[in-house]
Amino acid sequence: MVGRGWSDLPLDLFFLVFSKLSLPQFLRSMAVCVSWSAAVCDLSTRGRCFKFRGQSPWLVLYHNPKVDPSAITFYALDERREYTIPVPDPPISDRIFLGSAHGWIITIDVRLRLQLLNPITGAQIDLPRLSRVFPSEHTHPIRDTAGCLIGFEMPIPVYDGQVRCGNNYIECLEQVHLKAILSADPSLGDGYTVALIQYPPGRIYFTRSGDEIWFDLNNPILIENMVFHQGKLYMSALSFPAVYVCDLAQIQHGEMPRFRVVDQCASSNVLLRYLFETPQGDLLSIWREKDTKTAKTISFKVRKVVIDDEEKPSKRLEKTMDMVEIINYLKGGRAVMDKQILQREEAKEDLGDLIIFLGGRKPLCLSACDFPHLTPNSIYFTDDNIFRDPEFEAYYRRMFEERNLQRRLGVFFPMEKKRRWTEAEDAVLFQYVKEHGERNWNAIAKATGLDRCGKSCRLRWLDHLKPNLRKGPITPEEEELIVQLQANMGNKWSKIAAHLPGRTDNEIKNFWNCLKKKKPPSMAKLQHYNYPCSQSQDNNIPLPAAYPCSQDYNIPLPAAYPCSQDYNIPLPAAYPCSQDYNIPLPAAYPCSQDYNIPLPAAYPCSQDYSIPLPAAYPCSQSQNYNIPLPEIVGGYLDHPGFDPSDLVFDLADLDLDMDFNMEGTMMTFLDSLPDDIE
Amino acid sequence: MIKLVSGDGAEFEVEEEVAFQSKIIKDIVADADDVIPLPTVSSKVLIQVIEYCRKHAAVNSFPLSPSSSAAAAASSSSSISYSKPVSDPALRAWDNEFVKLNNSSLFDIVIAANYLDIEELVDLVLETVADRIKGKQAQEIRRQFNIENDFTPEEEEALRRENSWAFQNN
Repeated sequence: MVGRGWSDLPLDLFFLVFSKLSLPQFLRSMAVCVSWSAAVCDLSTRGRCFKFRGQSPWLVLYHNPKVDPSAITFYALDERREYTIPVPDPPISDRIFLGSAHGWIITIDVRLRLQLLNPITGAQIDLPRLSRVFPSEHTHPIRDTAGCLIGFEMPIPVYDGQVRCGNNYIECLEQVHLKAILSADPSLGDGYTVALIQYPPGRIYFTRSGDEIWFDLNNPILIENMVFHQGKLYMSALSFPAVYVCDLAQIQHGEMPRFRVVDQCASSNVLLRYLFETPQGDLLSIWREKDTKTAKTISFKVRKVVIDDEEKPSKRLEKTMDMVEIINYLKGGRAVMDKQILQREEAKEDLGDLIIFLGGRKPLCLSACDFPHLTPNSIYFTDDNIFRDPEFEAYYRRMFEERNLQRRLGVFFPMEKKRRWTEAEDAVLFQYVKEHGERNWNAIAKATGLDRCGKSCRLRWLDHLKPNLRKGPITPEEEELIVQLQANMGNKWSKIAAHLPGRTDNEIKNFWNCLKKKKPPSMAKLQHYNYPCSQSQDNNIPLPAAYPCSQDYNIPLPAAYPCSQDYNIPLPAAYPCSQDYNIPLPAAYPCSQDYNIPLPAAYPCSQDYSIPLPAAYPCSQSQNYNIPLPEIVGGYLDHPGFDPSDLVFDLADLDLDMDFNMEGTMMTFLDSLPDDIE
Repeated sequence: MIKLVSGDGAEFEVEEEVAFQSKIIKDIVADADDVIPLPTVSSKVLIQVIEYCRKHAAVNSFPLSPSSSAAAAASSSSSISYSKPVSDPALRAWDNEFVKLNNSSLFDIVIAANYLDIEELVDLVLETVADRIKGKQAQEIRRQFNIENDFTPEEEEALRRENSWAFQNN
């Protein structure tokens, strides 16, 4: 074969190949040879004329001790690996992530400067200072034990019933909770808006590109979540179930903003509300409803927020959809489905394509067509923002106490049916894994041609097919060893499993949990988690913003952060998790009309990609990356050597019939974490 | 029947619907007699391309195997269909087998398919190639695709430095 080969493909075919690659792989392809490099350059300047496949979302690995503070580590879901990308100052350990969208991260640093940061291009945009409302002389950064910024405290005047300070008001340090959203990709030019919630006192501020100040929305209602949709800001209320809309342009024109209710939920139990935009451009809200007595999740309700064009408030609601219906809706674009036709089998066929990222602040909904590297038919979710939720209290207590900010990601496969593995399937899987080794399970699932997901294959192999497995109950000797090892190493189940030949980590973890239920408090490690401030039962009355035991609050406290159960007010998200929760982005971004606009032809190429970009924004470099940047989804992952397939939870393990029981799923997910919660 | 003549002179008779998988042939046939010379395509490659076209022509003209007819009915009931071009699982499996070829054969096929304007085949091959590139560093890609490194060491070093994070080994 002389002269012709993969180094000289016609340019249009180069484009077709490269448009199927992830961003890092695309960049790596530059180093193959001169013609590939030229094709990459050419394509990156013309990217917007070319349809790229959507980039798989990235997760932020915020708390990564092994990495230097001038870099952010991401986990690429498609490649199942990390990338550590250097970013301009201020150092990441001095910043909190308030949100993310369109490949950009919104951060605040220790000196209360807000910035938009594009980690890929290194571009950074300074946002106006919040100094008027957020005075730096009164704001104290909170750092974790490793010295990383994890939040802020501000003195809040509160009423103290015990009258200790002459007047009845003392100043209490209150954690400030900030989250931010971004309406459009700043690299496309001006016209983006950033909105910020500060809690307390629950204010919303916003600024548009070019503004020099933050406008105060003077919101009369406390807001939990917000989303930009069709140029307006939609907000879900914190203390009662309703969605409001506000047109930000009014304020900039000097008018008083008007809030109108666009959606109301009859139930009073609702605790968590998500708002998100679908790929079809509809606005949906998900209400997570809880039982007031047991605090258990009762249901998820998904509604389409109907927006009337008229000024009059709308209370027209679509029918409440259950999870299956929402998924079908997202698939098929029909809001109301007849439940009768949602037979399970049919629904399963129909679901093949949907991916939802569900997190605390803003869900992301994607179609698997655009993201072939993600497992279709699944919901990726983190256990975020449930920290003020009694269901998960123990978990968050521990996070508070240890200042352990790790997040977890679960993957949820709706409608995956429980099907027995047949002998033939076992044989195929066994043969394949024996030949090729235990590698990427999704690839194995694909390569074997089995109609199973990667997770299911993995579990089947680990729990049943792997050679030398020990079947049968755990023996007393093994039990002794497990207890001993657990005391030494903690819940490091896979490490413990290494000492017990033939046993799987999952098996040991389950055994341990059973054991723990039988003999609860005997284990030293558990006692360790007993809460220092458990005498706080006096504080059962929901306090106002006040901090329970104020006399202790002379200094920013070390690790012990008392009495979370008293927090009927939402805890500042900054605390256990906030920065990770870089909000999943509006799905509109990845692959749509944006790329069709032909750019001005002359774009100087490659040399503009020069790496660590200067901190100042004006660098037009960002423009050269015309290929879609990966979305950044919040989510802390266990570290190091995190493998999402360790965390995925397979519905096939649950006996779920017709209804898709979210509660069971969530809980089971938490139960099945490798490093188990107290 | 349409007669295709490869670059090395071999003649292949194929049914119209098979040949019409190629948009170019479809256009040519409208105003020519039924012998089509394909001077840039070798007979080895043409055999493979015809094999592909034959399979796809068969599936496309008789799509109602039991499973796919159910799927078609299901998808017609929902207003938007997101299905990819090749939605029949059996055909997809066949495609996957078809592209289990070495990279230089794939190259010849994709060039021929591009020349004949068989969009699905181009996409299938390039998808396979993209899969084979995924997760690899430049050296591995070069080895796999038999590409010579024609950078000077300085050039290559400079390229790697530009986006050094993307070149990290995991």
